[in-house]
Amino acid sequence: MSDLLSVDHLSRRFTNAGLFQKRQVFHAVSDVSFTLARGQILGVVGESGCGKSTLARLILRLIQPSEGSVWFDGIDMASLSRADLRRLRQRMQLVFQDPYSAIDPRYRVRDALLEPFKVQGVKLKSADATVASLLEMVGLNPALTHSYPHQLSGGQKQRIGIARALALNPSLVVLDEPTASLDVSVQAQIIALLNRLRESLGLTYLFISHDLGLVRYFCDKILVMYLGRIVEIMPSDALPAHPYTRALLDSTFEPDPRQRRTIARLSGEIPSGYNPPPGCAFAARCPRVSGLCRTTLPPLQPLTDRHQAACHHPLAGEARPETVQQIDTRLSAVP
Amino acid sequence: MLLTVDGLQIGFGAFSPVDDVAFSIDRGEILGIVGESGSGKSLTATAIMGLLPRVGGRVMAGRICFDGTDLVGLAERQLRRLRGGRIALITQNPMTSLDAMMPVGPQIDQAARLHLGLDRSAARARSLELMADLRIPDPARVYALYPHQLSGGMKQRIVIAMALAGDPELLVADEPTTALDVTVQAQIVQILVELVKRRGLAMILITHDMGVVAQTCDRVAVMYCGRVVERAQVNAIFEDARHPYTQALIRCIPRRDMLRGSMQPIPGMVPTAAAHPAGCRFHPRCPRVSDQCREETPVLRTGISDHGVACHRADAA
Repeated sequence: MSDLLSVDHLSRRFTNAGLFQKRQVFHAVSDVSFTLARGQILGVVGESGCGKSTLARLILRLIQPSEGSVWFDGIDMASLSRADLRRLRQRMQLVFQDPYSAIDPRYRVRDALLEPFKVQGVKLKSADATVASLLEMVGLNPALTHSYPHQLSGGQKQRIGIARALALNPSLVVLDEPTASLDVSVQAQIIALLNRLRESLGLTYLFISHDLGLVRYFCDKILVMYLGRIVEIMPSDALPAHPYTRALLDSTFEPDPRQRRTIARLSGEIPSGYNPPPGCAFAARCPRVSGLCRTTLPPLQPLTDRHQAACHHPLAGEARPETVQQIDTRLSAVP
Repeated sequence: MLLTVDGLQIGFGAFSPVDDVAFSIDRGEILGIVGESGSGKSLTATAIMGLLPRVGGRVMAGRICFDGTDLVGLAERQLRRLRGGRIALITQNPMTSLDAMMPVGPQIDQAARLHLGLDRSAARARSLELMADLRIPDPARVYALYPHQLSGGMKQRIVIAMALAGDPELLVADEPTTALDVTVQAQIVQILVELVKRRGLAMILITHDMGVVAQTCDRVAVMYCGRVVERAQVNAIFEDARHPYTQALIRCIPRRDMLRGSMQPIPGMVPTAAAHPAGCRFHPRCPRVSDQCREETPVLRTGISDHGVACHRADAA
């Protein structure tokens, strides 16, 4: 399996220099490297401000990196001319969190679906047939062709967002919290749709979410970010080695009242990206912190061939990650 | 029972987005009201707070009995004495409760001064105590900060402190953690549960998140299109759900041990209040629909246990 996407030491800093303000540098994404194989779903997880949305925009080159490179299907995106980049963008698409702001309110569904072709200058044999097949692909009634966005529900709008992203037949789709503003039953519909489309069209997804439970369900591989850096990359059925990933997992509420537990309380909050600490960014909140963590940044190191963590004191026994199924079997064997 | 809601119907013009809602809650208890957008769960909270007229709605029928007094039809002056005092509200967005132009500490003081008649210094001492109780680090420093200087989690703690300042008996928490990050959400939920148990409060927790319900509530009312479709102890809701909607809702949540593709979405979508179907409002999406469901509205029936279900096709509880 070849890698469709390869990200190499990618960083982005924003400089904030107002007229009456001190010049400040915000470290949004720092030294991020990973690969994504064709046909895989990579989940990017983290809390607000961890840099996951900036990462998505860097990959699509909607913003320029400060350092590092993005390789798409063997092509260094920095080497492309504007025209070549525009052509390549047909193959990589973005679905936004907010289906309400992604579509021009004055556009009818038909116009919204035909916009990508217009932008890329693609001539269509039959616009009507294209619109009808796109609507069918995302499970929408063809009667909605002439509706305006305000006449659609949140779930319908997100389906339109997905149809627009798939209109030009891309290879990579970056999904930035596509279900965060939807109800659970609508989320379940959208996730089922994305799964079906991935199988039938052979798509590769980069799925950004704050919901570790959803990511573990939907993705093959998980990348966990904290304050702009990768803290862990792991198969979605592995147990976390990084204490932050562990804390994220412990903070998700299992929908099972029999499994009530006192949530390991994570004190404190995420430090500011304007002034990242010299050592591990999680040190101030970490239950396993040592002096080393406060002074020295832990590098991302392999634990197994598919599992990496950036931690001086990874959780014990995680070198050979145990799957959730294995744990369940082990626990149920205990009388 | 501290609060009993019975036959509550809410009207907006010609529509009734909430109809025949009934539940009760006692001290020391957490009742979850769970539902998706358009289920009427937030309107129910608004009605309990007596704030419906502010959003253009009114109670058409039913009772909201708080400690023996029916709040429906109570004069605004009397409601105002209860609101922020014996009954307090925690909203989803802390900025709907906070004044951006005022330091947070004095905002907490207000409820204690208004409802408990404390003077300035006694109210301040009480606020600092509450802030420490909610594990706000360095309360004396935070007291003088403005809302924009605080993180989302800290702001929500201030809002909780404001709600507690009037020494309430009933807390109505409307999606109190929805806008927060997961690790912060876990902290806030834990704080709320501890408060209820330690102070013997009653809390109505309004949420769309079945995970939060499973981890915190004692009893649950599931709402769909303005009606309570099922009401039971929390374990019964998750292990022995009788209403097809509750069953379907639980199958929509991604669980740790689920295989990809095994989540089963509910077909169709939630109708708007203007287009509630006749009969059972879930019938167009229900796998067990019968002719009776299309015509007759099922009422919430309770069997021997306190497990109630509003469905013609459900097995008796």
